[in-house]
Amino acid sequence: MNKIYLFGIGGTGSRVIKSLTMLLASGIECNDKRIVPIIIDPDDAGADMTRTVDLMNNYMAVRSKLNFDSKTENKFFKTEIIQQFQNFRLPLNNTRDVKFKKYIDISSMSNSNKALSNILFSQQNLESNMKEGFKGNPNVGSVVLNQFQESIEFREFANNFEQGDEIFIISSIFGGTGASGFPLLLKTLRSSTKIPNYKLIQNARIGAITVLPYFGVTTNDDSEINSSSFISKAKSALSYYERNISDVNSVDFLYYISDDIRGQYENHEGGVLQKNEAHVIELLSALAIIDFASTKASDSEHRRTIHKEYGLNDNASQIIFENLGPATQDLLQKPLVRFSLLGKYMKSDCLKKSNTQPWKDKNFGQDKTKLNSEFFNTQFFNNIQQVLTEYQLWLSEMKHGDSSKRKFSPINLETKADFFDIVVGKNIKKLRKLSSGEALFDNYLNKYIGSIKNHQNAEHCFTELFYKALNEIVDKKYKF
Amino acid sequence: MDTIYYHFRSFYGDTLHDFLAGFDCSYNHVPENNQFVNLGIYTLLCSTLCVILFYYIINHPRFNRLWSWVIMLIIVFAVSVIIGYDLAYTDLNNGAIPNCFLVNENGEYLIKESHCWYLGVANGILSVVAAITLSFTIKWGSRNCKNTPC
Repeated sequence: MNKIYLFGIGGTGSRVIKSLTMLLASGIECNDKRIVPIIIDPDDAGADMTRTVDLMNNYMAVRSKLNFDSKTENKFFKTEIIQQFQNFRLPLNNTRDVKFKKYIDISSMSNSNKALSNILFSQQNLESNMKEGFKGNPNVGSVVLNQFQESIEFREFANNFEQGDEIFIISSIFGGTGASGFPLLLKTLRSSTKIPNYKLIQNARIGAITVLPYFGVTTNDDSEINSSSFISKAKSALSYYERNISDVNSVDFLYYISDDIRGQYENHEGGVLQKNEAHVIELLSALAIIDFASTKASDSEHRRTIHKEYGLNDNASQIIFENLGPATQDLLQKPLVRFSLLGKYMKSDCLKKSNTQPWKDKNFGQDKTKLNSEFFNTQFFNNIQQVLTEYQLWLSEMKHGDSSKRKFSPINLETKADFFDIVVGKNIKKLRKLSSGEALFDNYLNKYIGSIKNHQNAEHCFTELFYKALNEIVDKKYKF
Repeated sequence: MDTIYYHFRSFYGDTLHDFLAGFDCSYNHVPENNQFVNLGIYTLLCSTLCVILFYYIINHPRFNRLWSWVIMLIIVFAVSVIIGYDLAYTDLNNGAIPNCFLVNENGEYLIKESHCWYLGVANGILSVVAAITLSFTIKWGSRNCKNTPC
């Protein structure tokens, strides 16, 4: 099974990886490829990154208990995520608590070099502490990030690279880390001869998404980040990309995404306070990775960059499924609704109410584990609960937040009238059954418990059972 | 069928039992028109119907608790009491019971309305036994109630 090395550069990179992890947890497939996320971000305390890392750790803990053979129907957590580096991070050397002027060692430069540095970098750049990233300064990032090929970890990545593996790079164009990191990383991948397997990597399929401005930040005189420069930075970076990436066909697929309805985030330069709410643009960017994984490999000799953009069906400020194109609807609707219902069931008091259900009374695995209260106190279940909590928060953040941002609100988990009435704009079908709501859920769990082979471990049986039940419920109730 | 009810005869009265078993006043010939057969069939049908309703028709995930099953038994019991009572009381009320069963030598009534209720209660107990037996026999095929009562 081939791998996709997924480089997420900067805060946007982490947030897109988070969205992708949510999609994979919900059962959206990545064409049977394994994902190796690698986060490149000097801001090692950035909340966006730590949330993503925690989510992926929980995902992997759940995934490690599941089996996916040819008889498995379950698609929750199907795609394997591989951790290559600690906390999924490619470490950057000499950026922790170091000012940029010290990093380039300006004090030991000759006068002419000092003068050149002063032309290229403002005094604010030189005084900038890099522990929170490059704070929207790609000129700083392009110097600091030019260290990939010397890095032991990067060589480790290259060493593990195999024939058929692919690379995808996520970056924003309007900040500092992503805008500078993407071309540097691409240059290293395509031209470096100092790393192991360089021929394989040079000829590998590479895709990338460049996220154009989709949010602004509040004005703060003390912050180096100012969103009024986002557009001009994006323009100059686009011009650079055109000449150095698109014109030389150095990537196979280049995705662009942007939004002209932009909300405002709190202006934090980095660290634990930089905790941007999830945004639909990040979800749609994650779809670029799914799209890339599904496309066929082209001949590396005659590589031509294919550019792709994403468009909505309607320019709605509150997006529901109907506002997405048909292909996106087909891709997202069922998995997201299935996973949302799983979360709703697990987070409500349904589990307590279901103590007498037959699905809780069957033995699984050699240790004869039942899906009873003991199982629901295991670390595995705790990990699933954490993923589901993050998933619900992710949906909620895309739905709420700053009133001026474009919102993604196809799923409303707050409805109390009917357990299944969660899809906005969709009438649910009434089934010819005496049971409804949570009881209907239990009814389908009881239906499928008999079809679950009890030689597998309880974790596998749990996900298989819930997937089968939810699959039929979603098919019958929503008729997508 | 009357042998099953025979064990309760001291409860609802010998004479009512003999009358329903089809004896005549002389006790000389083989009983005819044994009404316990009908009573037993109706009671068994009532128990079967309630149990099938519970396990296969209603078959509800929220009704698979012990108390739901107990309520089902109470319903079976109540219906069977009425069936038993109605059978005996109809004959009593219509004067279909010969005097030899109805009154003793001292002129005391041997079968009163209370005996009809006692027969009903006996019938209810038997129907509950039948419902419990049926429950344990057919519960395994139920999707939602296979663990009810245990």
